[in-house]
Amino acid sequence: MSSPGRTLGLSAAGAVAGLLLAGYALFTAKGTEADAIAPEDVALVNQRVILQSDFVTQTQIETGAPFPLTSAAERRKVLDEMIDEELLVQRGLEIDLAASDPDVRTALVAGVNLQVDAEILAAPPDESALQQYFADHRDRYAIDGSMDLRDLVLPASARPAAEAAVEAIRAGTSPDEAASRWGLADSGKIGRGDNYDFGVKAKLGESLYTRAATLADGQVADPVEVADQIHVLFMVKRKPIVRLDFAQARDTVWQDFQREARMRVEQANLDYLKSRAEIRVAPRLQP
Amino acid sequence: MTGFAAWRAGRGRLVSVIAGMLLAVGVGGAAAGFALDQMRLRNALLGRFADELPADPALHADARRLAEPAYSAHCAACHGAAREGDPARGVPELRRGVWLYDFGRVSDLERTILYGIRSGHGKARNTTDMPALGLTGALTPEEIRDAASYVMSLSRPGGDPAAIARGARLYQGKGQCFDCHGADAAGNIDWGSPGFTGGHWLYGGDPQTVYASIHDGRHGRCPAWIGVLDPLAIRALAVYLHDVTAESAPG
Repeated sequence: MSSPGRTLGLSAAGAVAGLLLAGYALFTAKGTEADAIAPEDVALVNQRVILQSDFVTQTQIETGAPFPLTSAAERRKVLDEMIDEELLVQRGLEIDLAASDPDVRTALVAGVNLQVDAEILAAPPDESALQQYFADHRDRYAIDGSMDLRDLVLPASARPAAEAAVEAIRAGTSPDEAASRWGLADSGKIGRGDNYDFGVKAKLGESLYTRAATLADGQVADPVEVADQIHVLFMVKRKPIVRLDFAQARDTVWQDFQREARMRVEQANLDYLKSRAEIRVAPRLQP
Repeated sequence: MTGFAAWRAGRGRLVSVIAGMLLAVGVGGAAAGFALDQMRLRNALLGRFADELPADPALHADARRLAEPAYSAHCAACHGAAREGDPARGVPELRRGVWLYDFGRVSDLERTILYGIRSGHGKARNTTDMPALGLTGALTPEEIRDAASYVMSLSRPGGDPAAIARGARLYQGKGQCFDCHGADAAGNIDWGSPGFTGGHWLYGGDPQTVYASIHDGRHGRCPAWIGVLDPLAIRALAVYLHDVTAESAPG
């Protein structure tokens, strides 16, 4: 036997009983707090675990003895110190130490980047990717050359004298003697003795460097006109660039490859953080 | 429907219900058994300090049962299916018990598995790197050959005495090898610097490889497995690897 009234009454009574039970549980239970310590942990400090492995390592470091040889008192002392540290770290977070302490900020930035980079740092090198990277950046992997170069100059109008000097040098006249006879002077742009290639390139410019780099010991280049001067380049001693093969450069290639990969993921992480952040810049600094 | 037919149909339904209940009980029992076994293993393997476990041989079979699939899935790609290592990549074999870091105790192995070597984890083993003494120009090719002759001579008789003597001076002087590898060339297990007196070579002990190690440097890596593998699997791996290798004596 049933009636709609009784059905509704029973449903309402069930709902009220459920609400009462839920309310009681809500206001009396400890919520999600866990009292049990997982077997891989040695302590819980405000729900933050202290791992057994970290505790063992720390105990061995502090006592200088293998863990099984440490005493209960030593272990307890170390654990107390680790708990103290955890409490202070938690307090640091509570008072937002990162907002005011530059050291904490630096450590946090480094730590976040390290986390982002971890996968890259841990990934074993992919040989084909490394070889491709090496092929794409071939010029980087070389021991820089150097040159002991004379850069003798005349005004642009004195091309015949420069050509005569070059001929004389090729015939065996010393550069100093030729310079003295045809009035050439050291440009003063590069020092005497060995100069690294990059230094010569920076000081003489690309075109003169390119010409000089083709000269062997004792060779002189045809006169080169740059701006309002004629240059006579004489190579006293050349140590050419030594290009490393992949096997020789592999480790450096790996470091470069990894560094670029890290820069990419760190930038991607920043892009992501910016995409979800609300950043407002003062009007005077807006582009 | 006759009475007999109704009885048959009713019996069929009853059999189905009982079969279903038995199946549910069976599946539930198996699941509960598995969960209880996992709980037992977790408490047995993780409920004690790592270095107390070797004294309990009963646990080793359990550890091995848990560890072997984890090893195959996560470690074998580098260390080899038979734990033979890969000298070409400087991946150590896991058969004997020649340890770069610490002594090969369960706790030592567990720490390496948890945090890795140069893995990027803040607690990884990454104190030092073998510098590229040739690439950076710290030593000339001739000096590197001499240094290689010296370190090889420490575990292998023979070689050019003059080169070995020059190498010894470089080891203790200009090359600063002693700083990490020890004045006695016994290595440093805190830093993961190998010794040269035992004849064990991570990358191979032939002259070309030793030359390459000094010239190009070395930076071996192992990933951190914390957060990837369950703590139970990590502990089981540590126990298993401890079983199949040997500790070196502390001190």
